[in-house]
Amino acid sequence: MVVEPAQPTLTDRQLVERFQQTKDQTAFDELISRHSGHAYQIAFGYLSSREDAEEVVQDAFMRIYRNLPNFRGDAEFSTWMYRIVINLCNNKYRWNKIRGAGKSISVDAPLDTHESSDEGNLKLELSDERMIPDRQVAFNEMRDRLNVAMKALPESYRQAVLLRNVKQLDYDQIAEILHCAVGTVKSRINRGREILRQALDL
Amino acid sequence: MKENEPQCPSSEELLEFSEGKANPAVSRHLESCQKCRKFVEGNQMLNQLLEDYSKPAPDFSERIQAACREQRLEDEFLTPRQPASRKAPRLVLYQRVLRVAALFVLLLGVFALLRMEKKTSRSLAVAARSIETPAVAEAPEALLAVVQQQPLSLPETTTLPAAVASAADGFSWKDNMALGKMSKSLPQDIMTVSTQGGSLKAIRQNGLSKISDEVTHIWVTDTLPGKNALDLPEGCAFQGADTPDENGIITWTVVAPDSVVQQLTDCLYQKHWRLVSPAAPQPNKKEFVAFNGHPVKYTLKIVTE
Repeated sequence: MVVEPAQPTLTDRQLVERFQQTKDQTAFDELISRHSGHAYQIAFGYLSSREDAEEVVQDAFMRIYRNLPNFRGDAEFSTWMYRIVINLCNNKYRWNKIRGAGKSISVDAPLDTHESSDEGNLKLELSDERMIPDRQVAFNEMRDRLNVAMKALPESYRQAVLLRNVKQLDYDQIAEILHCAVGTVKSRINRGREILRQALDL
Repeated sequence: MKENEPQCPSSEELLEFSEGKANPAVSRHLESCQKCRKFVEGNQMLNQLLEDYSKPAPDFSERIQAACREQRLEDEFLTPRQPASRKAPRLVLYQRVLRVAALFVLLLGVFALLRMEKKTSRSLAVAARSIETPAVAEAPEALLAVVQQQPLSLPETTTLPAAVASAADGFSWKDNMALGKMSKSLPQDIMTVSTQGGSLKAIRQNGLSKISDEVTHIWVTDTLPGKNALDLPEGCAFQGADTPDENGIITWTVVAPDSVVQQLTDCLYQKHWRLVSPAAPQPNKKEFVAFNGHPVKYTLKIVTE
């Protein structure tokens, strides 16, 4: 079910206030629509597991839903939300480490969408529908090679590369998430991307 | 990593350009430099692949929205006692089983504790019980006079080592247990355990306790009872009257085989009379009592509050 945004032109702050004052569910739905994708990318970049990322983001929005009435707006909604997501990622990451490293090998696990659940390994539809068929085939082939390359990539590189791919995150934020220096982040990103480009002949 | 020619932009500039950051100088340079153009195109392709790689399922937002709506419904309609309904039924079942198991273990622990206390303090239980009753000082004044005038008749005492004596001071089941353990190492013919206050006299003979030949207990009741209140066991000789003396005290004397004194005092406890003579030990029970058939002169002094 696709929920139409209540007021697409409203800012996050206005949507939050609307939810706080009237419990307008569509206002909260709009916040989810705007931010859940990036929240997922952060969680996926951090945890390298689709299942864990989905679980963390869902947990984060459930917490936000319960606590939004008390949100005072001292910070931007997105900042607050990302902080919650990252905290939950930290918890999940530590839990996975304690439990064993098995979770970290699922980066190339098939995406379990409702549409693909029957066959399990169906490819994602291409995001750019304007791609011509030849290029689409090439793109799919490249994606398969990327899955293999990502699996072989050291975890620290993989985290840095994926988090850099989240549009909202700059180097400083990535460094904060990964608890390392900005220079280290840049180094890991450059090195990780170089490994991927070589693996993909780009 | 691309090795830049002297006139080429830096790798960082090219990378930022490939990420979408506008840079006219880089743009102009790419028109004439095939190497840099290939580098930028490769990065753009990689960005597109990475974006595709890390994007959520198409219905991801809708699923989260649905989960939050479900949460809202739960918040609105469920009572606080049912927060676990969102959990899997199996989890709820596990929790219930765990709760029942925890309760069972708790009850088992309490039962075991009670049994242990009963067992270890059996030989001294009555003395401990007398401590739990009001002290003599709290008894009526008339009673104090009786206690002072008629000191309890106790057998000769043999004082145990200090450690044993102090262990018996508290009269808790732990102390009784410690006392029991230590007294096992004592010579079998030691007759009496004496504590500092002289309030505990456990007589020991061949590993068993022996009731004093003469016992005086003072009991407090709500109303003065008739002698029929005593369910005298067989073989007892009763002496006394139902009327109190000038101090309001009824004095009864029962001469009975030592084997029935416990039965007698149990009967009094069951009537909810209160024992206020802690200086007198109660007879011990069962296997810890040496029943030799000797008569015990059991004197009851009964007063009303």
